[in-house]
Amino acid sequence: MTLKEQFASALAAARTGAPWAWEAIYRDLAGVVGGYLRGHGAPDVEDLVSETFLSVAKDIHSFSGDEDAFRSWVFTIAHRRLQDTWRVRGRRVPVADGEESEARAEREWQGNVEDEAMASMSTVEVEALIGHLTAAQRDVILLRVIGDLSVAQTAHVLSTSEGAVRALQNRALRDLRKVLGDDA
Amino acid sequence: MTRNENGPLGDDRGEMKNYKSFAERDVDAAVSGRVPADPELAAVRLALSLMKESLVMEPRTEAISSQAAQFAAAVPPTTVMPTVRQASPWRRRAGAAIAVAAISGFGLAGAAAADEAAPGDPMYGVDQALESVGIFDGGTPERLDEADRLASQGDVDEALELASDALESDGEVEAATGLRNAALAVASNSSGDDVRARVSEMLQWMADQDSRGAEFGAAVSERARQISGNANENASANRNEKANEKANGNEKANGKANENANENANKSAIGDRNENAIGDGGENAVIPADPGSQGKAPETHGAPDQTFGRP
Repeated sequence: MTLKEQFASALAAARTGAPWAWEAIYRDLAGVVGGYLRGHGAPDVEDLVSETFLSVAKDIHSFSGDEDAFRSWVFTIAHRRLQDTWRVRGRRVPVADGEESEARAEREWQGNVEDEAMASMSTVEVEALIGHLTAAQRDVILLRVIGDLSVAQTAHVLSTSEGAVRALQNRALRDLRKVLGDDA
Repeated sequence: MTRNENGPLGDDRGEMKNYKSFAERDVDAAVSGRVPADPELAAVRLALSLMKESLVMEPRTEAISSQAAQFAAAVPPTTVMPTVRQASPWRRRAGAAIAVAAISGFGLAGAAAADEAAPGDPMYGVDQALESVGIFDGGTPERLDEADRLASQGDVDEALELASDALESDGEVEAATGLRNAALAVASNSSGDDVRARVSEMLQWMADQDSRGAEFGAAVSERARQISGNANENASANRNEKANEKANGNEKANGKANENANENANKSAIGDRNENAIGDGGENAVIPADPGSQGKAPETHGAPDQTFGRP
């Protein structure tokens, strides 16, 4: 999940352009960064992940800090790449707070989440679940859940306060709780 | 506090009134995949875990090393940055760890191969790591040799960058300036192969010099003057020849080349380049603030990715 005590040496080697260090960093973070972008419905997730890591490589000399700070930094870059992509495509970040998406989500959400045997969610189900969240809630939930970021790290990535992150995540969970039914 | 913050938010939509705020620790548990104490969050926790499983896809193993090589190649050469200097004891320890790993991994023969590495080679990172703990010299002469190897392979820009960075970090500012001036003068009046040969020759000469400091700087400057003098002579000789052959057009073009050469030789190329390098990095040193963005503001965006370009 994380590089822990190897992080410092990996970072130092990454600064010198050592491929093994980039391999370690990429192996550690590519999955979750991709998951974050995928959760946002980004097109061409793999390309976007590559672009994110290329930006990280180009700016690696400007970074200083520990692994937690590095993780926040990488997600900050991924987050901005995502926004750039949408801007370039002339699309707005999809916001799902209209009735339409709620109806769609309810129609398509068929997973019985209490069934532990259910191995995974379909793309449609994930979309439906995420579709219940507002854009701001989605940022917070995806960073917290997919990125494993703390409240403080999430606040840093989104340039907001920890209080705002806490409020957004609490609200998001209440909304999801409502969607998933009372029989929990 | 969280409850208070959430109270009004929850109330602004009528249907939300029935749903209470959750305790902070339960929310934390639910989003990080632990079982929350509050049974009402059990279903949410499970849904989020499943969502995570389905969204996170580990990169394909066969793609990892080629991707990593691409990122490693995109790392700009180390510039003289104060933050790096300050962190030196820490870097030393990290370097020692890498060096130990490198030696146990490659063996001494591998380490010797690493010492020969020039930037861009896979072994170069190892080379620098070993140098940082004093296993190889790694001083300016070795950097100049590496730069020479690069130049003879045709990568003149990279070679100059490496050489002048090494000189500057050694305090040899005058020598670095001289080198750049010479290279610029050569470049604006010669063809590609010729530039390579002359820069390579200059680097070799510099690496072989025993003197350092003011004496060295003066020697380099002198040599640079000779080179740019020769370059200008060649250029004007060319111009005369060609002017005889074709009276029109050529004169204008060559005149311009000559002008450029002089201009380049006069201005401090190093100041230019370093300003760019540090400006780029420095601005992005700390994660810049995106005021007011909570993800809903696609118009805010920051520096690091704007400067992005494929290597």
